[in-house]
Amino acid sequence: MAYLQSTEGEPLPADLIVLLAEALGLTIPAEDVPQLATALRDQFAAVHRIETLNLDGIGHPRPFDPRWHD
Amino acid sequence: MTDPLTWSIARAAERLRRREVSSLDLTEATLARIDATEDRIHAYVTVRTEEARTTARARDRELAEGRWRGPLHGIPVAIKDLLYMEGTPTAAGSAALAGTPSPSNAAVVERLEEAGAVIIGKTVTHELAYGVNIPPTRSPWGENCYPGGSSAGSGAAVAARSAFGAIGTDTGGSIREPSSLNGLTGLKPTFGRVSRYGVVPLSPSLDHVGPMTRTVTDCALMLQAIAGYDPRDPGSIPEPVPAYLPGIDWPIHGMRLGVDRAFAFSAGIEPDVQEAFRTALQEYEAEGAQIIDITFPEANLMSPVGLTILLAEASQEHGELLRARGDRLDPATRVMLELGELLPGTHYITALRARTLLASLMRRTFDAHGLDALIAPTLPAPTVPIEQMYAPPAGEDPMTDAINASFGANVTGLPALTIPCGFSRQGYPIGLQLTARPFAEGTLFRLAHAYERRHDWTERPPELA
Repeated sequence: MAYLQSTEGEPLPADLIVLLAEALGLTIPAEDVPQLATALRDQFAAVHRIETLNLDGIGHPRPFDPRWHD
Repeated sequence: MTDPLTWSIARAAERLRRREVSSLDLTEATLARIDATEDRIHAYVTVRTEEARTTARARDRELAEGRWRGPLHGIPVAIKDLLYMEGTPTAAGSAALAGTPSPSNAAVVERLEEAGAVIIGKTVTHELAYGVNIPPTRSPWGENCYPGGSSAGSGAAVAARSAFGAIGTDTGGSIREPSSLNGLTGLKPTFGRVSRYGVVPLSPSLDHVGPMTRTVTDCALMLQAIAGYDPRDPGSIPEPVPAYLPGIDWPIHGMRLGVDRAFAFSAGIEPDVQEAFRTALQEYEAEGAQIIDITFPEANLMSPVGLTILLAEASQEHGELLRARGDRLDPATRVMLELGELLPGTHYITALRARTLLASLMRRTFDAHGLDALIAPTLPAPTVPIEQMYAPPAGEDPMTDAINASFGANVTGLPALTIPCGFSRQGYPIGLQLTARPFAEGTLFRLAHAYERRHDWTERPPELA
């Protein structure tokens, strides 16, 4: 899959993927589950890499504006 | 008269204005080229044969009456099948959306029509522009070569001379990748420069619309026609649009180009690409530009940050489609949409905050070195055999590195342009990418034009053209 950098380690458990998806109202075809279990592992690893950045002082970039606009 | 399909937009516009050729001539020639090449390259999903002829005749009547709308007047161009165009379905490359009528015209379609262009057809895109399935399009440079994506058809059509220019979209490199692989100039403008109104979204904070052409001047002409504020696009920015053509041929003496050699000459970049890029740096120096060594160690985080944002936003945009018609999506696209559904919201917020930091670090790099632009190879390889896309060796997708190289400009929103910088030993085009400060598209055109005019690469057609 073009975007994801492969990482080592075990894929996430297939039954976890299925349970999560069901909770979200998604029925995941059985053929997608192994690929998804690996992809989710790789994506979590990607976020761990992002978390190596020092984000102190970096706020949420989308400020909420409570004013009413026409 | 030479074959008009070898002309650039600028040259065709000159001939049209002098009425040495008609828009109908150009349109008929383009339609004939489409007929001759489509069975091999599959660039188009819709060819607007009769509508294009009708528009061309109208443009010719206007010229006869002394009305000239500008350089795109009467020029046949193509648009990616992600843009709405009334009377033409927009399937966004997906069987799940086949036959969906366009509810309106995309802003870019409106602007192209106002500029007088003849929209000859809609081009193939990877499904939803996600770039993970394999569309039928093949490269005019070799039928066994991957044409890039997701603006695959736009790239192939312009390279094959079955359109004078085309519109693509770019969420992680989808204009620049196919432009580089097809030997074209392709621009991802600054975020907010070109309206996305009427474009099927993938990731609203990363999506961009831009031109793909055979020359730098043509790219500037197309951007001039489509750029500008549009309140219908929440990401549009009311920044004045300068005239891009004046100054495009100014010398570049003293301009400063930053190069991260650790990336440009890393093991992941193929030797032919490194060689072409090294020569390009020397040529820029010969033009008087200064090559400044920089380091940007956080560059390898652009892709994880971009992907996390993309996954969350794309699944939010297409969650309903996934649930209602997931069985009609290509499995590769479906898995990406499912993956986005499973991400924690905290990861999305973390990625957005990291994006702010990366944009600020990028600004610091430009400021600290007084840079006009960054320069780098556009892609790590000149081509990818199509069979490797179906069965990547050792499970690695050959386009992963390519996305790493291009995602930074989407994450930071900076304008980035690819231009041809030579050919591999096998004869496939190689591209270099220039990235500039926000809204400095004019700088990109000037730098690119100074390099382009040293070579005749834009005149060299691919085998299948």
